[in-house]
Amino acid sequence: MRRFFKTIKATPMLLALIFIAFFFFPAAIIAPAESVSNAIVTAIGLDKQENEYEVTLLTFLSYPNQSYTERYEIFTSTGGTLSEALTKAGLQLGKAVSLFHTHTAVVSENLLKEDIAPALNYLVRVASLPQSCILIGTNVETKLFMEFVKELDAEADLNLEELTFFNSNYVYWNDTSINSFLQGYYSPTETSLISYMPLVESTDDGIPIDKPLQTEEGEQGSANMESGGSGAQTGGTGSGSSGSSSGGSQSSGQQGGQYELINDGNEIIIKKGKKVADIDRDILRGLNWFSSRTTGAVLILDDVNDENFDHAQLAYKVNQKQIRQHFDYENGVPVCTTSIRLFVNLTEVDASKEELKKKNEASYISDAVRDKIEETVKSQISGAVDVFVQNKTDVLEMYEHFYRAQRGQTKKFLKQIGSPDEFLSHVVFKVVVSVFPN
Amino acid sequence: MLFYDVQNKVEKLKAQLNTSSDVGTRIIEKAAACIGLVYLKSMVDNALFVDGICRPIIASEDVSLQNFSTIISTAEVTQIEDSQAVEKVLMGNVVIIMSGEKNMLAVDILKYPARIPSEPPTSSVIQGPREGFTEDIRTNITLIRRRFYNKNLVLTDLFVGKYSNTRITVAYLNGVANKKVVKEIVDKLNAIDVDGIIDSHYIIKYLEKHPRSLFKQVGSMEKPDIIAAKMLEGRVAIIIDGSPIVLTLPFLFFEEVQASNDYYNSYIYASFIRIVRLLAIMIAVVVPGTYIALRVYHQNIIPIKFLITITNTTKGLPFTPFLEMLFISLLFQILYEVSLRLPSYLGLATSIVGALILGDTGVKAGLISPPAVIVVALAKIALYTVPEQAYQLTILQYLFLFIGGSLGIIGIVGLLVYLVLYLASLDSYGAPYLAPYAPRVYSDLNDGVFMEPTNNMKYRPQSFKTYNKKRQK
Amino acid sequence: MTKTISSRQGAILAALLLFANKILVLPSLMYESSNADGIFILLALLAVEMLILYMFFKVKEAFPYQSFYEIIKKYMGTIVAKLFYVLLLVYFFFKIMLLFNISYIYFHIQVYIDVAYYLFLFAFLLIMTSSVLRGLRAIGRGLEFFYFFIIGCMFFIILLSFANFDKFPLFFDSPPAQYFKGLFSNLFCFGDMLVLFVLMDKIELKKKDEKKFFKYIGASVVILILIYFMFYSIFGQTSFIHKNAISDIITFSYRFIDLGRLDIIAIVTVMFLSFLQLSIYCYALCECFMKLFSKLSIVYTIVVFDAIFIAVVASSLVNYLTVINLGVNVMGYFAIVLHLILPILVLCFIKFSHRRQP
Repeated sequence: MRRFFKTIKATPMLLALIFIAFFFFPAAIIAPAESVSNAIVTAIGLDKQENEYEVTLLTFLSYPNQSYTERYEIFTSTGGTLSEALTKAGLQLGKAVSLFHTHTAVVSENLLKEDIAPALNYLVRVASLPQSCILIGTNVETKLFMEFVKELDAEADLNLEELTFFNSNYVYWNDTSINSFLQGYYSPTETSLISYMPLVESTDDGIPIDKPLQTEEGEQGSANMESGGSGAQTGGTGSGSSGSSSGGSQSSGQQGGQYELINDGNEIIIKKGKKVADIDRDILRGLNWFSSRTTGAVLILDDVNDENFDHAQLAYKVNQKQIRQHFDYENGVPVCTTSIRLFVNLTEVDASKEELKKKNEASYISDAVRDKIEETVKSQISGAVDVFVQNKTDVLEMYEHFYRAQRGQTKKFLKQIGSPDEFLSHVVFKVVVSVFPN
Repeated sequence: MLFYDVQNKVEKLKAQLNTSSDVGTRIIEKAAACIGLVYLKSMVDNALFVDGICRPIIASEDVSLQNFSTIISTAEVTQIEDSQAVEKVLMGNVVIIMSGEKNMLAVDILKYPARIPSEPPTSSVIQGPREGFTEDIRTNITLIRRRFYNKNLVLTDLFVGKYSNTRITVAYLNGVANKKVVKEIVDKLNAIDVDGIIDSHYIIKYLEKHPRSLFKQVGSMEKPDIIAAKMLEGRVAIIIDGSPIVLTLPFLFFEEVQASNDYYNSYIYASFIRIVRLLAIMIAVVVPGTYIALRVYHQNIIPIKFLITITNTTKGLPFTPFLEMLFISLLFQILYEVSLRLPSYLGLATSIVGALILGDTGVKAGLISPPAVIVVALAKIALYTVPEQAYQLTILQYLFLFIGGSLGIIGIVGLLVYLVLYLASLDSYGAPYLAPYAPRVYSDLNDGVFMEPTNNMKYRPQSFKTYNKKRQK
Repeated sequence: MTKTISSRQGAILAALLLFANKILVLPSLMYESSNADGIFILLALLAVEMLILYMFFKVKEAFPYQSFYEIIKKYMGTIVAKLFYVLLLVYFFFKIMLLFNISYIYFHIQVYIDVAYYLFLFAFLLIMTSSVLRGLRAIGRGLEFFYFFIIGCMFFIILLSFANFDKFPLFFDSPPAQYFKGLFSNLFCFGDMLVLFVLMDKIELKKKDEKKFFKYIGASVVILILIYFMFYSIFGQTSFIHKNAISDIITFSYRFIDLGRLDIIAIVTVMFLSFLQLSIYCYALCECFMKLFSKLSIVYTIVVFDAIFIAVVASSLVNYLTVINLGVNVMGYFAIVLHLILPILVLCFIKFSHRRQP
């Protein structure tokens, strides 16, 4: 004993090690990996059914294998609040729901009709969910959407995360994350844009999957479905493995459908947390002329007549955009002068054989082509702005831009018009397009 | 009479040597004198004994204490008192007892089997000197001497060990090494009161300021070129008879990251490889503990793709993560110990057992997981980038494993902070242990982790407070 | 063996201490009180820190070898000296509680979801105690060792946080009264340079070393401003939501699709910083304590501190909310008192030192 105390006196840190050995080490020996008690949720769906929130979780479930194979399952639960629904989902899973790896949050049409900010409040407060999580709206129940996404990944190895990443970087005007939604929600104009990916019955326009998905009517009385655990589950699957055979799992009495995911660059405008309008690809094109983020747009010029072409159709790819905006007041009217420099390449020509032989180089730009491009760009911008004005949604953030550039005058102007919602309708857009070969 | 007189003295000396079976004696009777020879048969050069000592004695007519040096020309002849006789015999001398003389003579013809200097196994170079120290102190001194054809190389001999009486030589460059450090080292060595010194590691703990510390505080090398370079920087070398490891003081932590190879290659590559060594030390020590901490406490930090692979491959294992890691680590440790002690012809069998049976089959049987095997294998291999510190790093590795499993990542970071603060509080004979980085000694940075070309190293390391600061113009 | 730290180590000590309590919850609190003008409040309060630093240089120049306690005792008497050091003691204790609670909440939310507070209590207390027992020289060398790693991580975090500067909220959008309110309510997170006064006799400082201080502290100031700038640029009007600034600015990076979250870098940096900053505060507190009770050795001092710390934390007397509320409402006054007394003392001492010189 004396020797022990002597050793402790010589090396006091041993005391700390002994303390750790007594109080913390036993837990280390018996503690399992955190994946035993924490579920890995990669996507979360929010829906509202009869005043109750419905949460759908796309969860990664592990099974012993030596290869890089991912297996996902869907778990659904409802509750008066999101926290309650998630707690119930945890009970179903037998694990705590961990949103640290959640990259996508999907919101259904039901919820988009109401203010989604209260629904997202939990996701905003919980520190585990990164604010860079992409927010997607969809037209169907999120349960169905998640089911589709799961099957898409299993069949085609096409990942929702990768789709949304590509869109955020190359297609959309903004990154459509929860953070960008909130930035718009808390701005003076309370306007945000989020991604919209509808699921439609087979149209050959979207991304299909082989397996037909079961809708809510088809799920009741189903003999083939593995039932879930708790009564809170409204039709999610149990722990069956993914990649189930397509088309063979239906029994009589079920209604299934072949769905396709429309990933057309659609977005929706959210004002004060509610959906007010859709933006299709055409409007998005107009919107994207105000952003240098998105590149790779294709300009199709019909009926081009110049010294080399006669009623030809030319397609130009925009490789680079340089946008400069100037915000000023002229005679008390807000004027936004946008100078757009485009660097383009001729990518396709639909013309006669002789014309093709004469002029075919990628850097071909004539005055007529320039005029056509300018006309096309302006018409697309005009179309987009009309939609925004109609819905009183300042997606272009004109109010904020003018406030930054001319604070005093904007405040004065605001007093005249009353509300920032009316601001966009008074803005005069002057667009100057310069086209250069790349 | 003369004969009996010498015989008595010979028997007395033999008795003082406990009548060991290897004590040899010979009495040569001459006309006017009787000469007795006492020696250790195991410690002298027998050919030299016969041809260099016995034959000349027999052949010469006039033999006396005064003219022995003319009779024996093959070795140094010293006059000694009878109290020194035992020591001299033990040191491989032939003690010559002459009739009628109180004093004796000692002739040094020490010879014992010794290794030829060869390349040490832990310090191989692609280009550069390949000589290594041996167990023979005289060879070692010669190897150092050869590098300093200068009178300023000073060697001080000490004899330590009640029974072993081991010869220890303290070597330093006069005018370069700090005299206070030399004195302190000599005093510490003289103060050692122990039975015997078998190897240089026996005296390390006496020289360390913090003997209970896990960390090495005395440098140890097997190559004379490295020792010479360190002496030129102001360090003191300690050579121990019977050990091929020569010690140097003061010692700094970052010396372990440096290798002799660095000075014989491009300085850019040397800087790069030193960073790799440092990274290897970090990997070896920290990675297993961090892996456990992340798996048990901080799954959320692991990127999703890693997490999926790890979760899939660890599903259904019978061990908890900590036990699995401990099991694999201990397995590696056992394999290592076995490979040290097994004869070389069984090495192949050990490799097969280790790699295939324990590693591959263990994974296939679902006992251990591939990520854990990779982590432990990487950590164990990384340990040997600095083989001199391998034992200390192994203990640290287990410590980090213990702390990572118990406290998670805050324990890992806390232990790192504690270790650095601890190392920062250590000093090695006046030189801060973490110099030149903590405290920063700017002039020494040209040979720290990053290396400058040798023509830029104009000053000796200032951490050692040497007198002669300038190395080159 | 010398018990002082070099001027470089002193500069690094001050530079790293500048990050204490300022990179987690403070940016969000500043936004709540003053919107984007929080940056001006940051600059103003940093200027106050620089002023304290300047006063430190002047006093050190006038009294190169004496401690601040000895100087006050000599010119103002023992009672004044002890009173001032009692104020400092309470101040440093509050700082330790604040830093401990902020760090604890951060780690608890980010990486230790289900773990009880006593793990943190044990880990932090152990490091604080061992650092104090090892001495200021070990702390100084340890700071020097970790400095470039920490600063490198900070720059890495700033580089990896992709900000859109167009989103930066406008300056001067708040009424003037908000500035003063902001200055007062956020003052409790500043005032770290007071540590230098406590360690005055233990820092070797020559006239030419002042530039070194400004160099290192300048780098910290630049990094702090950049962090605030990035934070407000990324989150704009939603800055009030994000209570872990340095972690959130890097988590926002959606571009790292394959790597996933990179906030581990922020977490590890904050861990290192917390340990080192708590060690410094604890050492300063123990110094104050030993000056007040001169018969106590460092071992007894740290044992007393440990006991009080455990008692306070375990009793939940001072938890996160209490500390923040105290800081916003009460400690501002305390800090003002300290910041007012100090220049008066300094001016007096400088005058006395001029008087005694022929």
